[in-house]
Amino acid sequence: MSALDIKLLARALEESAVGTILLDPELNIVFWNDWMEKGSRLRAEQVMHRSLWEVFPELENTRISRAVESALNSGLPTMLSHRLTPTPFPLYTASEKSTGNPRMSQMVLIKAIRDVHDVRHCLVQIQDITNTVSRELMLRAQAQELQAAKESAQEANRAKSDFLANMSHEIRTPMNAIIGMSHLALKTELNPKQRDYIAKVHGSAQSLLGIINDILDFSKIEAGKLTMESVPFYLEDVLNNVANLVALKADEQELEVNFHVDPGVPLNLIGDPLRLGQILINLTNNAVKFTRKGNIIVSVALVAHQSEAHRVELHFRVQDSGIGLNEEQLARLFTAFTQADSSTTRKFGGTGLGLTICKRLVEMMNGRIWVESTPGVGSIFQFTAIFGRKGRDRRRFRLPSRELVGLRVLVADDNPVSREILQKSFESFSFRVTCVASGEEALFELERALAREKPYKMVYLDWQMGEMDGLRTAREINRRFPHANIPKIVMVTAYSREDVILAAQGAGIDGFLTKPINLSVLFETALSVLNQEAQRQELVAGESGTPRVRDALHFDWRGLRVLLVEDNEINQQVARELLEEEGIVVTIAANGEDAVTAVRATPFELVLMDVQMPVMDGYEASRVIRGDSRFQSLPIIAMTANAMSGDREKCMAAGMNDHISKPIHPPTMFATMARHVAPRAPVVQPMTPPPPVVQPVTPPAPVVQPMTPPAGASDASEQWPEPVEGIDVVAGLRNLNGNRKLYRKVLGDVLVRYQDVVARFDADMQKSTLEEARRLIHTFKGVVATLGAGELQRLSSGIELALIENAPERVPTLLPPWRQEVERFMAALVCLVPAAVPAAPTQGPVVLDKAALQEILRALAERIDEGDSDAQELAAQARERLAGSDCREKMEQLSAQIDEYEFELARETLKEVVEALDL
Amino acid sequence: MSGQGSEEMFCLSEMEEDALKEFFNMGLGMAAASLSQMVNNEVLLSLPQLKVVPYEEATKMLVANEEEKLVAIRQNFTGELTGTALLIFPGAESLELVRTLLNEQMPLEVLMELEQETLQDVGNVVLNAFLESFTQMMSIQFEFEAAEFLKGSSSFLLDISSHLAAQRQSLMSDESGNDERAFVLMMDFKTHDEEQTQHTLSGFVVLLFSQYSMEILKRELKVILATL
Repeated sequence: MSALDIKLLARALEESAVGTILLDPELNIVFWNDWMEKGSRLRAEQVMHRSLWEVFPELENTRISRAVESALNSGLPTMLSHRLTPTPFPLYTASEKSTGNPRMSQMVLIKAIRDVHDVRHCLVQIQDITNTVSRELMLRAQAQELQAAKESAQEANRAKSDFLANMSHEIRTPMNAIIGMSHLALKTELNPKQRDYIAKVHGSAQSLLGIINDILDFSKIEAGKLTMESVPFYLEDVLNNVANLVALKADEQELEVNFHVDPGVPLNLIGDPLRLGQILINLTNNAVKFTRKGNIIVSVALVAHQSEAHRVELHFRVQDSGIGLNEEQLARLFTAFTQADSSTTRKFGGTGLGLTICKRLVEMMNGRIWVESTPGVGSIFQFTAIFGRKGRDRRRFRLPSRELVGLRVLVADDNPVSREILQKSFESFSFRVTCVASGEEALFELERALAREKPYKMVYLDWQMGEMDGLRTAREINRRFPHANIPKIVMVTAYSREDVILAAQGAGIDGFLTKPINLSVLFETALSVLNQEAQRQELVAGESGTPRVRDALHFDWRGLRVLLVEDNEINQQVARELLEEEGIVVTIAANGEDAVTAVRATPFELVLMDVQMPVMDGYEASRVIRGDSRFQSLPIIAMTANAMSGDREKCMAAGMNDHISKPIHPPTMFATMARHVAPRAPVVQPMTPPPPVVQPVTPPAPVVQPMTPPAGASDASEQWPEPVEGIDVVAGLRNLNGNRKLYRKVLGDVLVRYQDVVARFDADMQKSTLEEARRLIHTFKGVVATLGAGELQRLSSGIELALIENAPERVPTLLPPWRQEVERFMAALVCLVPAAVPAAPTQGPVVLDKAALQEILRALAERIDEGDSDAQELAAQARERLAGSDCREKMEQLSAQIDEYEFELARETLKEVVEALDL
Repeated sequence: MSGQGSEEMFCLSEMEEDALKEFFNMGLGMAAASLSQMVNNEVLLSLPQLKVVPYEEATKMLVANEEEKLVAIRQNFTGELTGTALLIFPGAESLELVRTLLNEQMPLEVLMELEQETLQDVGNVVLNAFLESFTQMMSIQFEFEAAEFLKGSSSFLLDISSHLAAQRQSLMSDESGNDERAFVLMMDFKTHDEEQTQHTLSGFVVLLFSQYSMEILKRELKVILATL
């Protein structure tokens, strides 16, 4: 290397942006560049050939000195970081004008290099990292702030979740009371006005709950807390549930809701049935809401090209003929808090969260949701979803006999959609179906088939068809065809059943079906009009072995011992009454601790456990109960008012078996219970009609012996009322949910209140107070229908219809058979309800305790003046005391008036009684 | 030279392994002392495991998950014995080490420049201690390069080092470059925080040698054992 080159290299080192020092083996400085001069404020001449420790005495015995030794002795390089080098080179930043001249932050590299003689020298290189250090200090401060902000945001979010959970609890607890109590109230005797009020309270509470659920669901989605279940379920159960929920609303608006499931769609699925139902209910409710007239079709089809055996993609469509949406509105759908436009919101209400929730739920089911719509024509909301498949589908509907396979069925409906649905449904039962679009065509087709000796066995007629409606067609069929060749006629209608049944009297109709048509009901109706018993048991029990909801409702719960753990008194009452109504024996514990004690003391078959309670909560109580080996298999069902995701998991983790959310939905509660208690026999429905009474019944027997309980019955409350002519006790009991006690009570009430119905009706007719007569006959009809007195109901209906149609002249001809039937009915009641029979004169004249009676009547008058319903009790007391007197009838009348809240009339009656008694 | 042959050839005898461990432990004591002084906190280092494996196997030993990012301090050495020394930490744990060493309570989500520098310093101290024990035990000459800070998957870390070394044409003294060997030493760091809670962190010290260097190493070991 030439001398010039060496000078050049030295120059380069001088100019280097790194502090550079070169030490000889004796630690003397042999090179000191410009950078070092500036940083140390020591000129090269001042330091050259001096020992490094002489120049920087503070560096002796520091990391730097050890690194220098290590480099010279072993050749090992050392990189000294700013942070771990407490004593760095005493250097100062050059740029600082301010006083003090702060120390330079530095990174030092110390390594050995060998000279031509292979002797190690030490090279020290220093980097100024002051800027990096200050920048990082700033960044750290910022990071710290961000961290703090993040933590407080998380804290806020947690607080929000807790708040929501709390809110949910706080809202649901009173909602449970409102919904539960109104549910119970609706089961009591109410006058029409009260029934209307309570029904509206119940309905509004339900829709409020819907809104609250939407908001909570949305919050859960926002918080990413919504989870999907994966359980086996039946697609049809979900659709039935949707049908039941929307039918009421649709019916009010006279809309038809049709359901159709393509034949290839598997019914045994695995997924989240509640969420699927939620989507369908939401879309269908929307469809109903935005449709003024026409129909709504809910259909399910298989998405084409499915290769996987254990998974299936389904395509759901909800089509309406409503107001439709324009493009701009379409674009804004599925966005939270928006509806088509604000005027729509005002007109139709709603939170606008439903579709957002649907979208999210559909996405969680690995599907997508979209809509096609034409303003004024209607919308089609559609979504796909992927489900697991459970096993092979068994045919849900198996005909009981081979002879029925290929049975010929004719469908007449002017609506092509319902026609097709009926056709496909019947085909799925293996019937042979022909469809026509009108009554005329139906008659023609029937005649043609008869001529070819291939007659139809069943005809399904739509109630409302063009010129010739179902009713006229049915009459024509009955008129034209020879009796033996008349097919079974079933009327299909979207209107409420009673109206149609009433109107169809005498038209020769064998059965009725209401739209939306439920496949199971269709099947059972077909078999029942053909006089075939459906193989109920087989059909109803699901393959999965879990009893279905319908089973639960037919479950015989009597005698089941249930521990109800609930701290809120109102909720206690709601749950207790619901359970007791089913004959369940309920014990109440007010907190977890009491529950544990109760479980240890008494054997229970099931525990219903609230989770949030004072003293000991439901989770803890369940853990304690499960901790005892005796109660490993005791079913514990949680009742939570939170309904937040994670509740279920928490309950399961605490050892509970299942979970229902408050407000309690009775069918869900019983269905859930049914999953966990040993199956009991469903209520047996006799295959044969009840045998006729052997004993001829005569009008009120003077002395009635209390009925002896039938052999085998241990408890009087469990005895079956004896079959009585004219009263289908089985049907009556079914109407009252199998509640014998209630049935007995209603029988008694009817006997008391309607004993004089004939006289009252005649009086009304004579006075020409037709409206009152109609009301009387209407309520009477309803009451006897409930009790199962079919014939009397039919006769009463006829009279009511005549009055409705303002044709009182028809009444006299209808009266004699009615009177006769009433008489027979009342006589039967006397047999059934001995206790309710008014005290017979054989008891001897009652000695009137005038003073006591006076007191009672005075209090009664007061109550009546106040319009207090406690009056009834006092009236009953008075009635008892006056049972043997001439005022008996007056007292009956008084009671009835109080019952009907006719306090004005009651006051008059009471006055008459007081006068008659000369008090 | 076939793989199987070399496999046998480079197996260390029990004596040789013990001798190596002895040397390494001496170095470790030095490293621990320096670290303790640097951070003003007692740092204990220990070597629970020592293995000689082909470097592919070393890759697997470092971490089961190939995706996981590792942090390493590397020091190459050349001369008669050529290779690479690496101190490797699982990514997240290395941050924890810095945090404990510096007694810092603030969260270190991102490894910043100064932290890299600090970690490099720590690695440098540890590796120097190892390498020093090597130089003291051998009669051969080394030249060392300065420590470097690296981040990457285990295969990347081991691969890049051999790659860089190969570029310098010194690692590959014969044609069978695939037979590189690695000493894999598992190392535990123990330290205390302010509340006197003990923190233990496991890292790996990997010494990567060419096959040729391995032979020299073995020869040197024989000499040492003979003189004992």
